[in-house]
Amino acid sequence: MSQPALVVTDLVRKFGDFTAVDHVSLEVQPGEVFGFLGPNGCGKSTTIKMICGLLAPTAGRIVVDGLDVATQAEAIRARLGYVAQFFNLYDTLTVRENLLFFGGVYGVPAGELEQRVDHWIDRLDLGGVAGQRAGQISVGLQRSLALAAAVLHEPVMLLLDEPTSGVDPVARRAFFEVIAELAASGAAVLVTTHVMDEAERCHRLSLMNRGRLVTEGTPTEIRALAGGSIWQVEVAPAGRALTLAESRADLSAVALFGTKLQYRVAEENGTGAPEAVAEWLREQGITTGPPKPVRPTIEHVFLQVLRDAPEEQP
Amino acid sequence: MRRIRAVARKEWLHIIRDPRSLIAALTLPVVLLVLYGYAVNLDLNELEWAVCDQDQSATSRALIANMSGLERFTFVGAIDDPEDTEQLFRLGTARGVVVLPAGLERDVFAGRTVPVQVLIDGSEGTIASLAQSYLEGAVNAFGAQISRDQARRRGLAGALGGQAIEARTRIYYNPDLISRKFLVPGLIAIVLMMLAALLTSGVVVRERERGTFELLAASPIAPSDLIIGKLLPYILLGLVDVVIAVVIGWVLFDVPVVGSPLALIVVSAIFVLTASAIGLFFSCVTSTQQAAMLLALASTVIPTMLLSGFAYPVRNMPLFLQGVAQVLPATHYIALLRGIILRGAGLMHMWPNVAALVAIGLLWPTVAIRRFRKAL
Repeated sequence: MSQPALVVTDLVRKFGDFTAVDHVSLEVQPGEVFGFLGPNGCGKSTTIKMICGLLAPTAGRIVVDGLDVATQAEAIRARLGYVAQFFNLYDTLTVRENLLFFGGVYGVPAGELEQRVDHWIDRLDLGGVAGQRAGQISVGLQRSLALAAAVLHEPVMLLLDEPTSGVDPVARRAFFEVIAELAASGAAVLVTTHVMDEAERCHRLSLMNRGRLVTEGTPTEIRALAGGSIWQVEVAPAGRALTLAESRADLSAVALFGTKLQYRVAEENGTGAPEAVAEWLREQGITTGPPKPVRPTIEHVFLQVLRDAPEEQP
Repeated sequence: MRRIRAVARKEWLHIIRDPRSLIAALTLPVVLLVLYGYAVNLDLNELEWAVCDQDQSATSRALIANMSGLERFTFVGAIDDPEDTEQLFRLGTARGVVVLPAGLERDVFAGRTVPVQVLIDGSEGTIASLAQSYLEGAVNAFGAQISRDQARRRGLAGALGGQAIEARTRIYYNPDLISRKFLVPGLIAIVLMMLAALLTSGVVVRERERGTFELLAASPIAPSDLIIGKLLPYILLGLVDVVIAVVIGWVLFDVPVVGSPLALIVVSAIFVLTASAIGLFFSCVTSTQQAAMLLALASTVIPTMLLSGFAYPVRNMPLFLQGVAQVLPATHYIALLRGIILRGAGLMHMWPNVAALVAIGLLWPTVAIRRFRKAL
């Protein structure tokens, strides 16, 4: 039985009076892609920085591959691969030079370094820009380069902080294929995101809000949390329809997709029934089409969780 | 070693891809040495002088003609009244005036010693004392010449006039040679100190500013490997600067290296390591490049200029400042440079300076490594 790649227990980080991470606990197994979901500023990045040993926890314990971050930070760093939220490789070095540097810093044996660099350049489609300076390639390729630099030393645990921000959907899909491959070969992956289609690709998910873990489970389990049913209706004018729908306490997961308004209803009858809501909107002067049921997604759960979370000012 | 090499290689790529720092590293020693070499000059290259000839005799005219022909003496004119001297000084037309009294020729032929008044503009101390010794020397030399001619005419070979003896010592004293030779090794040290500290002051804080520090900090590299790897390319660059500086000292200021070039390179490498480590130390403890640069410059250049014995002898300082001078790497480096370049001395003969330089050279990189934090 292999030990967990990462065990986080009751992790707390405070910045002055502000609690950025509030008693977070989680476990990631080898071969698992663990998704960390939450809005910007919810404490995802702070948690990842503490796992990397870049920030000291205020309280709590982090164990990577059986080693405690508090006492064996250097040994852990050799087992981690880290892709930061913003591109932070060397602009004036070429793609290849960046990879050789990080391989060297992580202690990849000299005899294997070239070969591994070539492999990742090839696998992440960086061949065309290998000789170009990292500051001059596209954002998507920069993300690929950052990922390559993080996996050259074959880390036990890969930490990806919004690895696909600024990347187009096609490249994002390819990126997640590589992540799935790395997991299949035994690496544990912790990936933060606020993009829902990425969340669907994770083995397990954790929803974070205001420094706390709100819920955890497989994507299927998370989707099942969405009680009631989700409906979608064409509306015009869309902006006013959204404001009206949001003002109703009996609707949750209210969101607007173009001219389509979505909402979750808790009950199928009475004034809260989907048709009754559409009827109510028409009475308020909104033009609507017929409501249609929608398959619940993680985003619905997420919106619901955010709405249900107690409003407290930090 | 593999990690040090990776860091050193990366740092080297930064240097050669950043034209600003590379141009600074290669042209600053030339600019600074030439600038300092000509500006910091304890010599008087041109002495403007005037005369007040109250005798108007053949002897007085001969004296004026003789002095006007001397190297560095520029004759600016004659005045009728010694009272006009102040006017000349105020306008800066002349730095000195020679007053030849009436009856000069008569008294000279009578065998009496004639007092010749030399008036000096004392507003610039160093220049004033030089002007004084130049003018006194010239007058006395001429007096001695006359004494010799008279003695020869009277058949008393070897008899000398009273004023000639003192004058001779002044004439033989040649401040030009001494001040140049004395200053060039100090200039090399100051230029190196300034450059090395300046170039390395950015290397850690720049990574913090650009965000690349985060990945370095997340990597398993040891602070010592990182600091050593970052220092190596700058030591190499510093040694190139040493060669440039020494060549300029040789070609422009005529100060050749008398001693062993190998010894010169060895002590220079230790000195450059120390200066670079000081810059890197400030890079580790500051949060902006500007702050690091300012601190590195202020803490290296100012004490080095004042206390290292570059122009003002350490021996003449109060005891406390002598102690401070001993912990400055430049104090020992300048002493070693003077030994190697000017006197051709071997390192064995200067072992206390070598030992002190090595000790300081080990201290600063250690301090930089200790102060390096991987925290963001």
